[in-house]
Amino acid sequence: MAQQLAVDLQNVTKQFGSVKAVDDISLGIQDGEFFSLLGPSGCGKTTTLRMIAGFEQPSEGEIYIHGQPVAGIPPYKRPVNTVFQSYALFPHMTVAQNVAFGLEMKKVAKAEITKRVTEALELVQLPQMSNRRPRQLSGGQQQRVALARALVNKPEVLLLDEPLGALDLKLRKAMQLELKQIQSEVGITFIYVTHDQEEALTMSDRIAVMSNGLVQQVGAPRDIYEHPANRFVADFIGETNFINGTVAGVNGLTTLAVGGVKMLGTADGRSLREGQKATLAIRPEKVSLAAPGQTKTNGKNKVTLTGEVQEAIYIGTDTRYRIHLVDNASIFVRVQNLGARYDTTFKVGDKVAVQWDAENAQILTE
Amino acid sequence: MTTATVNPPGSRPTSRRLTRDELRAAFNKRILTWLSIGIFVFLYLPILILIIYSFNENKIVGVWTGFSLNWYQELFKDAALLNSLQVSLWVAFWSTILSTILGTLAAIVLERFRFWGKLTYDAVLYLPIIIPDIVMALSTLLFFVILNIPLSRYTILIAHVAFNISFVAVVVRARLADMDRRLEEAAADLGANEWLTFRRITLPLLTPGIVSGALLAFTLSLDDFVITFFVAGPGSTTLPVRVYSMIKFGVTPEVNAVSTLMFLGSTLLVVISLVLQRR
Ligand SMILES: Nc1ncnc2c1ncn2[C@@H]1O[C@H](COP(=O)(O)OP(=O)(O)OP(=O)(O)O)[C@@H](O)[C@H]1O
Ligand SMILES: [Mg+2]
Repeated sequence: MAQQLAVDLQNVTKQFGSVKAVDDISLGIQDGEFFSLLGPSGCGKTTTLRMIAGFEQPSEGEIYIHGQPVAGIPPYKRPVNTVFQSYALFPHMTVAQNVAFGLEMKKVAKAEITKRVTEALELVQLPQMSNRRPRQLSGGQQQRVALARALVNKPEVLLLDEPLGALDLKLRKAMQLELKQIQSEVGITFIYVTHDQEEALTMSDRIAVMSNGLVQQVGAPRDIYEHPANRFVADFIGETNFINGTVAGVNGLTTLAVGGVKMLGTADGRSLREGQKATLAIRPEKVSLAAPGQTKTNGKNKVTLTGEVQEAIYIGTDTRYRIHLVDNASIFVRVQNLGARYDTTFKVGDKVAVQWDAENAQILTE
Repeated sequence: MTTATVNPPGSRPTSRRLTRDELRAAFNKRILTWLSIGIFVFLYLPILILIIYSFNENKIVGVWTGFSLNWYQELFKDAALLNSLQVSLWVAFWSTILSTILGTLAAIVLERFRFWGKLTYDAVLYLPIIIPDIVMALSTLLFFVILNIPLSRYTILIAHVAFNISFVAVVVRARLADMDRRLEEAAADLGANEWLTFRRITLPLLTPGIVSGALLAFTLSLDDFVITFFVAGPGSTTLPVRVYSMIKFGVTPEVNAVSTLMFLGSTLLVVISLVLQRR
């Protein structure tokens, strides 16, 4: 093994009565990594985090933190700290007392505590608030106190459960940057739970996409976005067109037959059989439009189809078209508005040439 | 086209007739106001009269002849009355201490732990609140008689602890149920073991509930008549029981005076308890 994993989950299952909240997941999280658990509500993100923190025991499987199995070790003895979704600040203590709590439990010397609390509050840019009570703070400030309270202990791993969920969009964006910056400053492993795909894409080194207690795909943001492993991931992350068809050729690139039209895409190593039902997934911004006969021919694996504009909506930076390709198959296309000199705009009813690179179109099964 | 009319700034809005709904709402509001005033008068007028006549100079209740603090002075010369006051306070104090500790523990056990027979324990604990005082009184007396325990201030104390535990448990448990479990998890996450979590987080957050439970217990103990009447031994009556025996010789202004003091004391405790519960 090259490097010991910060957190290693091996075939972990958590059963609540008849509900399988987490279903046989295995994840290896590297030291110093910003790792996100991304998925819709109820997919088991919080349960996974709570098992790492020690608030829940896995029904099956084993969890290792820096190589040590942690089964049966209570939360207060684990080298991890949590930032709770609801912050869970102690209402009867001041900000400084909240932040100092973990150090007091570790019996750190008084002077040292004062010093580290001050540092932690400076790190989250709240040094003037140390004597306030949590309820006298705004949501964003409470969030930062919760972060300081966890970080001050210098945990090996920091668990964050949708810490920005309660904030408005603008503050959330600002806090995302701040969090990312703090993480690179302190160099602690972050395991970050979110259901916001944009947040996960912008902040993470790697993402695990979950649904129904299962891990659907693990990878870097670019991998997940460009090479979704299945239809769920393609649908959950960003906007995607899906075109259903039948596999009609599997040598090199994959050919999909859709109502008499052949479309080319890549199976990214997934094994497909001829005659099998499959779905082609292509991002709206990966498709280009041209007037018929003015198509670009550079790029050897260009797919060129003809279609008709059904809808054209101007949305500032882009124009969003809906193009009818064949029966039961129309796709959305995003064309950047580059300025009057470069723009070719189309009207509803125009015939257009529709193009994409086969490498950008994923052929997926369910 | 119609021209819109705009009122110049500061002008009164044009008066208009009230709609039927508005009339009905106003009428309902008036009825409710008078009804609540009526209920208040019904509840507090007798007490008010009692308080007023405790300051009456005349010994005959109902004939006002002048203001006097005479009856209050009389109170403090009445050795039997003072003795019963002392018993009352002693019982109230100790039953509060004991029932607060036991009631709080019961609340924590019921709210935080799962164990066999929990539902039964739960129901049995709340029984003293529901069952009639007279049944409690008789059964407690029977208990002492069967065990051959002579009636004294200690039997009063035991009886009071028995019913007060339930009330303390209810109040503390409500507070505990409202408490965010995440706070205790956060403490554990930060390295606090079960005991430290309880001492540093649970207990401080529970304190207002415990204090208001204690005040409630103190009030209930001071006010109790029925149960005490049954389990009080010779020479160890509490104030309410003493007042009852005084009434046998007629309602005197002295009884009014002692009742007034009891009313004020209880009110004060209830108010403190309510204020603490709000926090
Ligand atoms: N203590 C519990 N008892 C029973 N079922 C539970 C418990 N905790 C979670 N579950 C169930 O497990 C599933 C996963 O829950 P979990 O809280 O992990 O979801 P999540 O991904 O964090 O969702 P969200 O984004 O809404 O927070 C849900 O179906 C939930 O109802
Ligand atoms: Mg959750």
